[in-house]
Amino acid sequence: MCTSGPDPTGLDQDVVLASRFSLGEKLFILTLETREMFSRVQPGQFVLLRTAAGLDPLLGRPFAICGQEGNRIEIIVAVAGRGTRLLADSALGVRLSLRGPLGNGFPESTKSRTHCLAGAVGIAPFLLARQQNGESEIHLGVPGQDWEPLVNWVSERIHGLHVYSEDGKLGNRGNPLLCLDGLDPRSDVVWACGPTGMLKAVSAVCGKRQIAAWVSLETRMACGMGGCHGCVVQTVDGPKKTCTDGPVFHSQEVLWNAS
Amino acid sequence: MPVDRKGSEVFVGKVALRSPLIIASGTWPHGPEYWRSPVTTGVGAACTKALTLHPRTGNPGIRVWETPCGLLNSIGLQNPGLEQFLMIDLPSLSSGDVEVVVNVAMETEEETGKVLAALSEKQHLLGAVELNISCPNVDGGGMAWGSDPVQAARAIRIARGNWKGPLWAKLTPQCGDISLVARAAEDAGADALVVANTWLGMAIDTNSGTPVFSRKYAGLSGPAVFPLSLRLVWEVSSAVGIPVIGCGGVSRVEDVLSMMLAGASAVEIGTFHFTDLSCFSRIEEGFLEYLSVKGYASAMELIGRGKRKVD
Ligand SMILES: Cc1cc2nc3c(=O)[nH]c(=O)nc-3n(C[C@H](O)[C@H](O)[C@H](O)COP(=O)(O)OP(=O)(O)OC[C@H]3O[C@@H](n4cnc5c(N)ncnc54)[C@H](O)[C@@H]3O)c2cc1C
Ligand SMILES: Cc1cc2nc3c(=O)[nH]c(=O)nc-3n(C[C@H](O)[C@H](O)[C@H](O)COP(=O)(O)O)c2cc1C
Ligand code: FES
Repeated sequence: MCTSGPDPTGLDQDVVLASRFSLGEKLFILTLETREMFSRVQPGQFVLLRTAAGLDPLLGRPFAICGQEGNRIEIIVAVAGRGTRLLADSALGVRLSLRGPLGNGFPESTKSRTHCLAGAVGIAPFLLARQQNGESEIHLGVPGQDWEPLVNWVSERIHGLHVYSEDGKLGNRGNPLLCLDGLDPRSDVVWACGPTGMLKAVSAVCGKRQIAAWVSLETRMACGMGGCHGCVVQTVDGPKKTCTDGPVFHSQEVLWNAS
Repeated sequence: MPVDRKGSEVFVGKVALRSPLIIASGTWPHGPEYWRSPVTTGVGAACTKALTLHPRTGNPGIRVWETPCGLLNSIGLQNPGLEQFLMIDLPSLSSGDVEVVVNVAMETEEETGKVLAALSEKQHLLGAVELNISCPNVDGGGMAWGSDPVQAARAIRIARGNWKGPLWAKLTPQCGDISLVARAAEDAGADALVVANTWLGMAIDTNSGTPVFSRKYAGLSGPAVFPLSLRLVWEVSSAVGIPVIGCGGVSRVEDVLSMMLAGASAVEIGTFHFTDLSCFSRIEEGFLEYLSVKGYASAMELIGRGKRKVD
């Protein structure tokens, strides 16, 4: 199948897998060379990526952009199923189909300090944030020692990274929510990205303490551009699309208990 | 060199389309930039998301689920309702350069009557109404209207009474003998038939051990269903005299040609543009090349040609 025709929306393009760095059997950093240079990507924006050959898988998989330089972007791929496995196993130099950049990233804040809370590969947008602006405090939580390669790789890029693990074998014992205790609602803002349970907990604490918090949500997607209504989340203002209204939402906007 | 795109024009009854490719309902954003050049290169018309009288929030839970070469969806007709559609969506969509086809979800007689009466006031902004008697993802109405000839005829008559412009009826595969439903829709006054909406399917999450979708069943679309849709197009176009629009699984120029050779006057594409947005311009170019290589003077010559040697 040919997917190389010029796409008149400018959203779809073929990219080349320029490098792959392994952080274990199921975790990879992929560098993609884009034909068209992206304008400045906001932390939290994402791409849909699929192997270009064949019709199965049919849909692109969403990944947050974690680095941008010239016409290269970087993503972290945790192998979760067939689509991510195929992407992770792709040969260097191969063409992949990309749609993006998509969605709205974390909003710039007038508050003096941004605290980024990441659960495992949820670190991706904050790597980009740090690349663009060295100011934020970044807290990374991982399930356990298996994640040491990710922690080491991130630590090299983010000086002053705060690390947490449940068993305390990597960094502090516990999870990034611990940092919320010391925050001041007048001067601090929280950005969070990771598993839904973590985001819900961040929202609960920040709601109670009136700390402004923004969260990046994960939902299944088909089109990524607001056409299919497949990625809807329930909010206080009614249903919203994760792909075009999000993926970043104000934590108090999300109805966490609606399915 | 710019492609000369003249020559792919088709007519669906009185509706002229500059290309036989139509964007299928419920798959395309309503942002005005998506309804005009350059995005619409290769597109003849675009169908709106299903419209209902009142706003609908759609179905809870997982709404899309990939299958081998296909997609199950259970969106549930989420839309902002007639008032917002008339005020915000329609004026901006119709300022673009493709025919706007408004997909109207069949509800009660009264509700659908009101929607169509309101659209009649704006008829100059619309190419056609596509009456959706085939949505598998809602209770009450939806697919029930299209699942037998008597109900289908009733729905078309209600619509016909309230809308004088081009009326396309979108049929469901879940209907027993589709040629009976098709004939009933033709007799009741439909101007064209869209064949067809999604195929009822299901997925089970083996981790949780439960059905993926809150409504258990969902509609299957995408390349996996193409041969099934093609068979329906052949059957329906053999049964009726009004134009047929093929829909279901189209992803390549060969699929468009097959649908047209089987009797379709135009072809809708939904799921595949989730994979590849360049498909419309690329397929139209392949289509034009085919016409020229085979020596056809117009796209219309292709319609039903596959039947002449067989039926
Ligand atoms: C905005 C956003 C950003 C993301 N960023 C990253 C990232 O930076 N790094 C990373 O490793 N993962 C990220 N994910 C999750 C990643 O997209 C899924 O793990 C991936 O789609 C799984 O695909 P699969 O084929 O391997 O799994 P399968 O389970 O086989 O996938 C089946 C289908 O479900 C969808 N799906 C399954 N899990 C998820 C999920 N968690 N979120 C969305 N769709 C899912 C797939 O896209 C596919 O359509 C992100 C998700 C979203 C929505
Ligand atoms: C996400 C999604 C939403 C859809 N919404 C509608 C809708 O609102 N009204 C309708 O008549 N058909 C709807 N459909 C059906 C499509 O218009 C089309 O008939 C079907 O998907 C088969 O074509 P395809 O295989 O090219 O997608 C929807 C399909 C999908 C995948
Ligand atoms: S993925 Fe289609 S609307 Fe969001």
